[in-house]
Amino acid sequence: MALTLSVDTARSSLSATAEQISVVSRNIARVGDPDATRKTGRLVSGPGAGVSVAGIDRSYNPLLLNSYLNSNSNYQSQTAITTALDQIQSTVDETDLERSPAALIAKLNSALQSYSATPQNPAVAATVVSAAKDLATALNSASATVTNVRRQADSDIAASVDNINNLLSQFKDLNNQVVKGASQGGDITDVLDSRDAVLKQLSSEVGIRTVTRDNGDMAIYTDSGVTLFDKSPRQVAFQQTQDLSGGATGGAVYADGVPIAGTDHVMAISSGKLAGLVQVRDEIAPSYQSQLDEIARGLIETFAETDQSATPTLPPAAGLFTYAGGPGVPPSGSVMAGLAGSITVNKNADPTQGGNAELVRDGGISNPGNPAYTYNTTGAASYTDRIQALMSNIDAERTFDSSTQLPPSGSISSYAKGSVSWLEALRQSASSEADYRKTVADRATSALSQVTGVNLDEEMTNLLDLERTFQASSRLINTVDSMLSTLLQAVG
Amino acid sequence: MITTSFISTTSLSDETRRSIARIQASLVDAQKELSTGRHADVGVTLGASTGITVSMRQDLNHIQSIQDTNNIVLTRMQASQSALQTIADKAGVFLSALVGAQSTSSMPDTIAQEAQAGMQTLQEQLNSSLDGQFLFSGINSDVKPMDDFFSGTPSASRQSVTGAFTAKFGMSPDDPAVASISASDMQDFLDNEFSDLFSDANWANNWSAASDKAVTNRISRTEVAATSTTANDTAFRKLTQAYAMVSGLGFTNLNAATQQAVVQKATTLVGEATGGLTKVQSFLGVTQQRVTDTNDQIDAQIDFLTKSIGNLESVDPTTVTTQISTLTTQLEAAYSLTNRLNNLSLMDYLTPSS
Repeated sequence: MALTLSVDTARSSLSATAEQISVVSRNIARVGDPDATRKTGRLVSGPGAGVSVAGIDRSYNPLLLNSYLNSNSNYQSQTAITTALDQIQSTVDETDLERSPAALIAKLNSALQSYSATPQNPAVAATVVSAAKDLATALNSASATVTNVRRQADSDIAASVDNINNLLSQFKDLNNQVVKGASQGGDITDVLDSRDAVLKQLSSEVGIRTVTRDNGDMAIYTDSGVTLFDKSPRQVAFQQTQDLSGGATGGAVYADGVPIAGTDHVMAISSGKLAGLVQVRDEIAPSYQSQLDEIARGLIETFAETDQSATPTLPPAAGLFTYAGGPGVPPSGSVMAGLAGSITVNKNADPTQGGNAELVRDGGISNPGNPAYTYNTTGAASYTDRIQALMSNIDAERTFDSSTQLPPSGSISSYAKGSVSWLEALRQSASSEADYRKTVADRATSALSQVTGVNLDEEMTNLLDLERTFQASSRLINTVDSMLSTLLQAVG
Repeated sequence: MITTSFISTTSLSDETRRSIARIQASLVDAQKELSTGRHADVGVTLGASTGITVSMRQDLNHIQSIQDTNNIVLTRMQASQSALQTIADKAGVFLSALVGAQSTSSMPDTIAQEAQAGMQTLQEQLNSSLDGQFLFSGINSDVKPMDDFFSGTPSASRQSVTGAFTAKFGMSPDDPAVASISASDMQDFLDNEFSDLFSDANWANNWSAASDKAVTNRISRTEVAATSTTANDTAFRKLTQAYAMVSGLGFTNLNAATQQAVVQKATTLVGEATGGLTKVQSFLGVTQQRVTDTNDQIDAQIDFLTKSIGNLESVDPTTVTTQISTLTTQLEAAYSLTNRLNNLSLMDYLTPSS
């Protein structure tokens, strides 16, 4: 009978509408969740038996999600680099503060110039020594800063690896639920959302690519193609290095037994925080460290004392600047790792350590007891030849290690200046690259959110529609009911 | 239920939040630039060119210190010049007394006194010091170059003169018997034994503690110049010799002919010394001029470098001010937009269904 059929249809509509309203309320509840996608009830019309909600769909766009994952990885790697560069930049600081090694070398030169005008004045000699101490201290602390940056990067790598392992095990649970839910035909939209959220977090740590299979199962590979997850999570392993001072190399990161970062390897990852941190630890910071080491070596060489005997037999000895391996002068033209950390002002010339600052004028700082290194043989108070020679040495051409990414020949002050240029050029390009990648990542975020996210107004209008449908269906039942009762009265 | 012009609620609010953050960050930078007059982050703005400003600052530092030391050096040279002038003036007075003694029979006492005064002036001036540095000691600037010739306990120089005289004539210069010394004997003594007292070795042993090596200074970035003159210069030696022969050889007691021989020898020496003094003065004068010129050049270089550093590191305050006002306007617009978007909700327009 048609009337009872109408009531059945209206009843199915009521239950379908109720279900849809529950979907709307789920959407509204998660309006502020950036990982939530918009859910819609899929309505099907049965053959003569009204409507029903066959399943819940979610607005999902794999292309936009992938572009989000890529741009996020790229942005995170660049952020790690700019953060580290900003820390390293503290060793140079603003140019007008004149605290960079380059500026302090110029100050030492000025102090020598003043001393050459009043060589009989021990107080002025002490200012030369104190300018030299400033320079040595600046190099020590710059070297410590660089080591700190590397140590920080190393422990950040460890934290990142832990996070990756953690996310992969979360991913495993969610992926299992998806596969199970898909085979049983249940509502898996929320689980899918959570799984995507884990992917987003994972993309911050390491660049990834995903492959989805028919049953909803997903496999994750690094951007270099190493398996991170396929049915089960693969172990990502990393051993932290305790002492990274003076050019020591850090450990490599392995995924599934394959090195993905920290060594030269074809499978090396190219994006994600992990890639950025490894680049800081293994390339940027060590390059800067070796430049600092070369500045230190150049200084020791510049101020070295030679045998002044008529027939020189003794090797040059470290003068005003010395180091842990003194008094021999480090071999010319090649980096001595960690030298910037151990360079000091020779205590024989340091009045605060019982030394004699006037040895700067007279020579013999390396060994005051050995007359061979004394330049001022007559002990004249206004002897300036040694001071003049030191100033000429500062301007003199010398050879630096060619592996430090700076011109291998030039004066010590131009080399130190070159190091500032190198660092700031790197910062400039890193900072504009980071700006660019941030814009791209922002775009990708909003593109993804625009397409897959929830709009409150839209949900409200949907709610109005559903309300009307509900009212209409109720009215229909009511109408059929009154028609039937009219019929029954007529019969009665 | 999906529409083409769809936008999610989170992306709507995210968008305004992001743009506000971006504008605020630029505003902080612009305000810093306005207050310091320099780029907010000079390193990032200049990149590789940062090295240029660092190097210009190095240069600036260097030439400023050269200018400072040049001023010290100049003061020292001026003091030396005035000492030299005093010596030259006194030598002039002595010379005219000597010339007078040759033509007229002036009092030998006067000439002897003149010689003593001249010797004292010479030694006093050669011993002049500045800031604890003896001007005429060369690099031995902590040592007084001259011992007092007339001091109570006879100095080494006085002893050497007396000794040579006694060895030659068998009597002390104070002995009245010196009147018997003939002019030719005196001439011989002055030319040989006495003159030998002022040889390089004897001068260094008995007279002067100065070093032959003059003080040198870097007066420009590349130029190192001798900026002092030492008491060992021949001009001073000849002048000392002339003074000593008149004041240390019992001049007043000599016979007239011998006196004339001494006067003539002294006249020659003072004449030569005066010429030498002029040379020393003009040598210092040339260096003084070079230092002054260098300082003028450095002034110009400082101007240039300061300006160039400014060009690289400074921002144009007008541009920054405009930038700030633009950013402020943008920020206000963004705020009011956020406010409106928040107020704009469909909920406010929905009436509860009856």
